[in-house]
Amino acid sequence: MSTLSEVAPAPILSIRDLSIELRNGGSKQLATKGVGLDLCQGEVLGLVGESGCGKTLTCKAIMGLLPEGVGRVQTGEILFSGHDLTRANEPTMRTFRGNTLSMIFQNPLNALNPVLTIGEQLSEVLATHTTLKRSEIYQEALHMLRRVGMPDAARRMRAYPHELSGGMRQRVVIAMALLMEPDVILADEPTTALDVTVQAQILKLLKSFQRNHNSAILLVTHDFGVIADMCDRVAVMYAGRIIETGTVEAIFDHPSHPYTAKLLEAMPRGRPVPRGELSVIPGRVPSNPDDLSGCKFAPRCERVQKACHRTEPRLKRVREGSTRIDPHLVSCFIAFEDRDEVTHVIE
Amino acid sequence: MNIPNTTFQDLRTRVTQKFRGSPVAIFSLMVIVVYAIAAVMVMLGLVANDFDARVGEKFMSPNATSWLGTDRLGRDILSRIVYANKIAFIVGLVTATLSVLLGTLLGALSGFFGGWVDAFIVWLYSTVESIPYLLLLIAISYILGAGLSGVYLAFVLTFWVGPCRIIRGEVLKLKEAEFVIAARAMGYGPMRILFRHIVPNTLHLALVNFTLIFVAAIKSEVILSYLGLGVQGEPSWGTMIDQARAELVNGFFWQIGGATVAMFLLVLAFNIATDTLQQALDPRQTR
Repeated sequence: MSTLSEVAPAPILSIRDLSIELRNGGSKQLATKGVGLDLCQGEVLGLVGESGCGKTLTCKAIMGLLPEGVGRVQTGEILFSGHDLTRANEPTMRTFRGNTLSMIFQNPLNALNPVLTIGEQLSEVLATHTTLKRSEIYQEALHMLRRVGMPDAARRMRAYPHELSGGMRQRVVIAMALLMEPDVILADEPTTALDVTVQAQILKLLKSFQRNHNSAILLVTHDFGVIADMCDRVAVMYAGRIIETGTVEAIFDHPSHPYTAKLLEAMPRGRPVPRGELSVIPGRVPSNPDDLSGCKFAPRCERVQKACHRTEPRLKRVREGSTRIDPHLVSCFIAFEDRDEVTHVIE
Repeated sequence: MNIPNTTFQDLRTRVTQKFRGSPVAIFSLMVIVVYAIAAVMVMLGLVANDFDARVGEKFMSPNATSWLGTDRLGRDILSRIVYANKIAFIVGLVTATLSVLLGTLLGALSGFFGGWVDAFIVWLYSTVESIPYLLLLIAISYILGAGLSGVYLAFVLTFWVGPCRIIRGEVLKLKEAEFVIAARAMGYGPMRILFRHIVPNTLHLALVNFTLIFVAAIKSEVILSYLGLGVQGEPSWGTMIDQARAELVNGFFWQIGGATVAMFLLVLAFNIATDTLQQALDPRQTR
């Protein structure tokens, strides 16, 4: 875990000031603004937030798969193995995709091709990125299918996706993503489509692979329970911005942004909750955040003040939960209001 | 987006179930099979060898040797009808195969690559489509001269439009599908994604279009042959109907009746089978 080492390791994937522009007919809006994330080797970084806050788009931007003619990186850079992925051309991107940089999709029902067998789909990854012989490819693929815990793997190589259950399909999707032992895995809500028992198995599988290969995972989720199990660090997104980031301990023990605090309150904590007692955040994510001046969460915030509507707060370091290597950052005025501590602006 | 299962086994199950539920569909299938067997037997030279031979007096009524009578040259009408069936089948098969291949290829490229490729192909099929198709067929046949090769070319040049339009639409839809995005995320190139991941998912549409074109080609062949632009030197249902025009005045109807009924049965059977196939494979599409 990165928190244990003394020196901050160089990030393997670094997102700087990423703004993604979405075009909808004639109107343009920024889906994310100034997103910055660092992902180090061997680290699991959780990316949390409500639906539509830009988590999936950020992943697609990393993969270079923003919907054509709709999404576009407006500013910022994504640094990965010596390239800026926002500027890399298609052939370069293709050498990364599925190879050193892979993505696990949300819905395993739709992420597999319905007319190709599991074996064909696994083999294709190896055929694309390696020079192995046919028989070696088959053995590799089968080996991987066994490793992700597919029962009766040899027979399943000949099965079509619709013949498998949701959990098994997600195992196949994960097997495909892990086949080339990628350095960075983007997992976009890998378990939301699955039921709870299967969820736990899939997460365990991801975690053990990540430990064995010292890969880095960017785990997109809206489930703080998953974050607690899996992640070293967390970044909370709201309306296309990172509003708080820090180690899992920092976020859970000292949530400093009212939104983070509310999200944590909204999480059932393993005990039965009487009807109506789960906390809800009233209102909804602004459809076009740039229409709001000031803090984008202000209209829904219980502790809102005048200043919140005037200027947009920037990410600043809070003392609680900060370690030497992993600062706990939050973009909120009131988080600092009761304290007289010295803070410095993080650019 | 929900993508229906289109594996080969799955298509087969859906088709079998649909046909099992409908006696009319089964009957139409049997009619097609009988015609197909007859066509194959003609090709192997087992039946209707004597289509050009004089077997009796001219304009004979049905009798023990000539079941449907004889024509103005004393040739056996039934033999000629059965032989013409072979022509119809070959024309249908060749036309449908080539048209569906061409249409699928152009439709897939058009839908997948967009831009000027799409603009050009859409322009091409809109242009072909805007010309009344019989006129186009006649024009092409005149240029190439009468005969089967002209017929094939004319048919393929007109019939590729249908599958092209439909496959283009399907590819447009499928290229945004999650499994295609997932394939791109695995680092596959565009040609691999198009022809290995997208096109096989349009197989059901290609099948339906195949049967539609098959029957359309048979009908068109009859029309062209009737106009004297089709088959030369061999009997076709079209040429038989053409020859029989004058005979009707003399009250001789066996030739025109036989050829018409033979064609009618096949076309009807094909239409019913195509409808059933379409319902089984592509419930969304109604024509």
